[in-house]
Amino acid sequence: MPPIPDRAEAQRLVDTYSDLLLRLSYTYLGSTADAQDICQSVFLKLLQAPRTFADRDHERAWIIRTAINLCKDYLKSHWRRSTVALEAAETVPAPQAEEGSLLAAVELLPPKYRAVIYLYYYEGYSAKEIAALLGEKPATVFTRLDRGRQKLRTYLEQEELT
Amino acid sequence: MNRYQDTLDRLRFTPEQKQHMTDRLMAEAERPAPHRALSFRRLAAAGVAAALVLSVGVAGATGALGEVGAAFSAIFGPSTQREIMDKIGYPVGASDTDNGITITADAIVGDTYSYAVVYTIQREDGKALVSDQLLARAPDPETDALPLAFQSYDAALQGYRGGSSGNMWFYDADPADSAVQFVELRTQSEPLEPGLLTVRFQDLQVYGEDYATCTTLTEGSWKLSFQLAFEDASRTLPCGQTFTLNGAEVTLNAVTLSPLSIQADYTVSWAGDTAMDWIEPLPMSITYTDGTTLDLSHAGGASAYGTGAVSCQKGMIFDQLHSLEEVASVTVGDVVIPVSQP
Repeated sequence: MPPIPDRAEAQRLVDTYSDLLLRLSYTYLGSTADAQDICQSVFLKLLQAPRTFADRDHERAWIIRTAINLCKDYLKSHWRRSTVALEAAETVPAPQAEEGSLLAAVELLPPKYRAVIYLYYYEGYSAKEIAALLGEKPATVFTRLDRGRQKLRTYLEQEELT
Repeated sequence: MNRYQDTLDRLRFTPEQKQHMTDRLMAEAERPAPHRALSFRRLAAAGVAAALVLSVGVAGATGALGEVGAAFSAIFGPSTQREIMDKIGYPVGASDTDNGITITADAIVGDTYSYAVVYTIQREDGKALVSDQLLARAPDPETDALPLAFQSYDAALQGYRGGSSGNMWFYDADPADSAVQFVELRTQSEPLEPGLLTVRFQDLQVYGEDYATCTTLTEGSWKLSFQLAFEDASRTLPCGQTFTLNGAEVTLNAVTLSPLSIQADYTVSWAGDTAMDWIEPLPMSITYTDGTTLDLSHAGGASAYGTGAVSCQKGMIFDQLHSLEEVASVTVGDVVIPVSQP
């Protein structure tokens, strides 16, 4: 049931997690506008249906998992729930992925590889933790990490050759 | 890899963008769930809202629908049976006046964990509390919630130490009068005990067009106290069943069902070192005797981690009230619990 909204809680969520969600969702969707939409949807879920978390790590894990699920839904069904229309001035500019850079190579990976690479290399989660976040077996995450690295290596080598 | 991290480091919101996001979230979160107001709006779209609301008012006065039913007709629908309303609620009548504005608690309905209170807010001089332009400016085309808020609002039940969550909004139950209504729906984590409910309101505010800022419409402090002592029409369904959820064994400890709300208490056997969400993935639904089903999987909840187990509660207040005689079964996980009829 939607809660009585708490401004301090909304501010805390935004201050603590908005950059993480922006990066994660951008990594998954490749669009900062869509990533901003995911951010707001995740926070709105928490404000309208508050949950009790064991600790901050639990909360962080729930937020990441929820964002990934929303990203998956988005990709599967072109789901879009524009919670609040963004003004043009509020759109976060996408990072400039220079040709031949690792970011450009990561963006060429399928989304399931991109998310694992991001969570492992940027957020510092272990493969086991990522497995729990994604609802996958650890072996699946290891495989995606391994194949993701191989694909990145191939992309970057091809870029060097050209 | 460092350059990858450096590039992503630069992908961030500015402090101003974060502030704007918070403002928008607050405005969005304060809106009532669209489907609640939608049912009310559909009546308006059909051009019968005024007639229905007026007839409800008359019916309330003559006793056809009952005073409690009249107060809640815009929330749970005018078709809600009087027997249900009379069973789970009662008129209140407590009021307080400050700065020429009177707030009256009209009626309350409740059960083991949840309650709903409707308040009427009106000026002493009989003039309209808010302008027609404001009444026409609904926050969302899908809802009829008015762009009003209290600067602060608090409801405290004497002796209660548990947690709670809820939803509240303003609406205009009768366009023909000068008053507006305010409703709060609240669910507590611990069973409600009879006691004094004290409600404090501070400063009535109106949202700007952008819903980012509020301006004060009327300053004032209002305090109402009244007894919370409704008859609990909840039924505790036979539980103790186990089922599997995402690979973990779940024991269903209790399901409490009333015409107003449902709550499931369950324990997940989980010794994993990673916290998991055990609320949202739990399927929950009600099947009525006419064969229709109400999906409750989106209900909210709370969980508490213990040693090797997670205690969870999942529940919600319904959009429409149904007598328990209309309920055939409740399904939690893959456990179907028949609701025996008296």
